[in-house]
Amino acid sequence: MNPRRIAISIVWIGLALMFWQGIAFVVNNNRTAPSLGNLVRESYPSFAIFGDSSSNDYREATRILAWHAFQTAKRSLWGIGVGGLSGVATGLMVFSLGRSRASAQFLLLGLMNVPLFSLIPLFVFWFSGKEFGIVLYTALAAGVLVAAATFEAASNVPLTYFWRASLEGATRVRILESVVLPAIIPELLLTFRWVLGLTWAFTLGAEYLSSSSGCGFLVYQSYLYSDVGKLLILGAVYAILGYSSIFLFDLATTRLLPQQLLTLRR
Amino acid sequence: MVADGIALKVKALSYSYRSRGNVVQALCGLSFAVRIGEVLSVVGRSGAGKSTLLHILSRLLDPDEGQVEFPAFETPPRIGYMFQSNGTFPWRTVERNLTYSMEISGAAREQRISRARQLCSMVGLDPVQHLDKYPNELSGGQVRRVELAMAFAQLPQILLVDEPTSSVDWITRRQLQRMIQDVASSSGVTLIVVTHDIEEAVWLSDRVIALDNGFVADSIEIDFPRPRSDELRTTEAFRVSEDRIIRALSESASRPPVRLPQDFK
Repeated sequence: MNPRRIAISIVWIGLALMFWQGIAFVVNNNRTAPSLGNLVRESYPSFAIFGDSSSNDYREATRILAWHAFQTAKRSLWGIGVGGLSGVATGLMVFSLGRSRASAQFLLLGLMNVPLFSLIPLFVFWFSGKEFGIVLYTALAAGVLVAAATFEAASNVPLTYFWRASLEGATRVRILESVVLPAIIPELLLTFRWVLGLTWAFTLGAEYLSSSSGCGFLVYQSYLYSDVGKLLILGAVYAILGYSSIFLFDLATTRLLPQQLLTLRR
Repeated sequence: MVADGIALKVKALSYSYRSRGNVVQALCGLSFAVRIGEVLSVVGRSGAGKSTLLHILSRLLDPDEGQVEFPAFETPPRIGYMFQSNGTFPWRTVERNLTYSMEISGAAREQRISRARQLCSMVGLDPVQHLDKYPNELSGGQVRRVELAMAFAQLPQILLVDEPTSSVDWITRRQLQRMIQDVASSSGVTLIVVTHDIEEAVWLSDRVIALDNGFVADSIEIDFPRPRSDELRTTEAFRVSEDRIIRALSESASRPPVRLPQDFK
């Protein structure tokens, strides 16, 4: 991690907090614009009421937030794992179709144009808030985006790569595995990074409407009681989850993949 | 191999493709033959169908009409192809690029390494220094050498080379030309070179054909002895051969390209 970037991030976070404190001072209403002090003293410990405690408790609040964040993270990871893998497989399959490729591509692009968040009520109706429904929705949303990006990336692989591979005796499957896949890895990594960020939003949307656990559920409850303080803290939790996931993703790809694949830019 | 003497015979080859709504006739009843071990250069202005011809010869494209025969070979010959660009896989090291076909056929690792070393040395690269490098760690000239070695990886009987020196400086160009000459004469491969560089065509070839609107406008025999030296380029006879090709191309440049009606295909 670049120390300069960390310093800049800290400065920006500091400025944002000062800005908020300024707004809280001007508005002077702890319900609509709670001050930083109020967030720490009142809003944060009050998360304890979602657990066994009936009063404000820092320890219980931290446990509650961590547990719900874990539920959300678990769903997001399952969603991007299943959706990402099936998205890559679908994108490659559509790409490798012969004559029916045009119609499959049309279907894929059509799916991409469906507003994904508008599907949430449908999933609530079908799965009535079950864990499977949330993961399936997140996987579908991530999968559609990854599939479309995989197809586009594969379509941009230079023709000479295919020609060379087939002249050297590679079969269609071998070309997919030894040419297309490594050639599109730089684009796939960027797509996964982007979709990883979006997956938190997909999970939030699904939990908001249909779950009794996870950060989305807490957001919904806080919204019902117009608790801006809790909403701000949950926003911070989402920021931490999002930032951590991107950090871990970058770390894992840097460690696991050969440097040559990461630096390739056609 | 059958002792026919003709490695490749192109008969009335036609090929057209669509470009911006128009049907462009890239090759139009093209016919010629190449002798075993001959070095043939194909020159012509941009869009004359030179690269398309190589794609058809290597069976990457099917012609609309006509056929390609290999009279000297009982079974389809092994064809090596040095592409104009993007010939190497950038995510593979030089060694893994050179042995891609062996990897596909399941050759043992030791066998692949030994072949990669051999190919690397053949094109004048030090295996110790270069085998573990990636293409983007090499100079343009070194990449072209690797691509030449790759084209030789499967011991081709016919080698197709597309613009071998188009993107390198003139010193590297001369080095590459010498290398192509050495490799071709030592292996006895039948070589077809597509190039824009007339000097290169004359220096490398036994014969040059000028393509115009998809057919052979002129065929010029080049009978300088081999091995050829750089001094040859300064001789009067060399200049006469160059002039003849330039004249053939200039005459063809004054004729418009063939464009067919949109409903041609």
